[in-house]
Amino acid sequence: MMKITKNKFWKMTPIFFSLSSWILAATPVFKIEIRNHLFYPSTVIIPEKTKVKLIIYNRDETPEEFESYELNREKVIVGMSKAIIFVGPLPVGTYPFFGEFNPKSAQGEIVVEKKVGARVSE
Amino acid sequence: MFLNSVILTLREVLEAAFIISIFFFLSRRFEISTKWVALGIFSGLLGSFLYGINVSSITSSYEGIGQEIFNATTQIIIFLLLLISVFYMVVLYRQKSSSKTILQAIFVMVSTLAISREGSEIYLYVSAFKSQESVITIVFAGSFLGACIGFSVGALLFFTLNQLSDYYTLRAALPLVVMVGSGMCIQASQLLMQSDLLPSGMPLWDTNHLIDENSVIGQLLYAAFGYESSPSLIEVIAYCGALSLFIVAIAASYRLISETQ
Repeated sequence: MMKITKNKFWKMTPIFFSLSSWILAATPVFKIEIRNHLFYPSTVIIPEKTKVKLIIYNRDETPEEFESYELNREKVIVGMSKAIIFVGPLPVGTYPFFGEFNPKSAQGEIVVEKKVGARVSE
Repeated sequence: MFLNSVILTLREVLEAAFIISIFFFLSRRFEISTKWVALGIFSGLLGSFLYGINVSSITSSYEGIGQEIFNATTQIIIFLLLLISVFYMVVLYRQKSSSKTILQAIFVMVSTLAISREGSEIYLYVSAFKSQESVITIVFAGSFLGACIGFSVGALLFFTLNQLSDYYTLRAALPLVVMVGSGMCIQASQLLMQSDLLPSGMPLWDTNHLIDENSVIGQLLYAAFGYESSPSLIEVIAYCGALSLFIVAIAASYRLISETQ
């Protein structure tokens, strides 16, 4: 212990950690799949006040349009392809989205929570 | 399935029908031949088809954000054309002898772009069912009905405007065109935030308790003017910026008229 603290570089440790976490702190990524006109997962939980990246994989043959009035997002995803959509930063709340081409089945929601970090539930 | 088709087509047609009805109204007031409607609709349908069949390559361009860039650019071009059009509307209103060609050309271009943009979604939706013979008739029937309803709403707007005396021609048309154009800018800014080309921010306010975006009124306002209940700073800047440019254009045209008189 004595030897470490006598090393003049130990004082730079907090700087290295903050710098590295700043460099490594990327936009959180969440994945959603469309299968048989349903969203998997249908509920995605994201942290508040954070911009996140949604990658939506359309595993169906037919196109779908990811749309949400609350999120102000709208994108056509052709069959067997993926789309990237950025969402947030948002205040705490629930933001529904749907597949405009199959609105009865393709429904989901983004739940924005106060926690730091997030989990995805089925 | 039937109801989905009706609602989807209705919403898309409504967005284009609104601005085309205003143009139709102005054509009658300024004695501009309404032949541009047929041309605008035809090119718009052609544009929808072309965009629809190429959506895959458009989307995958620019590293997956080609669709947003394409749509946002279309909306900004419509905004710029509307900006120029308000200038000529004022000039024509005051000086009936002025050239009508530019305004007519703008009517054609804006209709083409608006119909292409909305029609492409209808094309993609309907073409998804082409292999399902059992439902394709229902989808076609529903889409046709939705389009008819959308067209009727446009016609209703036209007939309502047409009741107004000439004193109200500009006083009704200008605010409507300005709101449509500014709405285009909000929508373009949302697409650019969606693709991370513009910075996103927290919403500044939320008027959803006043006019719910999911209500019929909210949907109509969205289709016509791009109503947004919880805009971020960028959207507010886009809207105010667009409004300011419209005011400048209108002021410039009044200045031009007073100088030449």
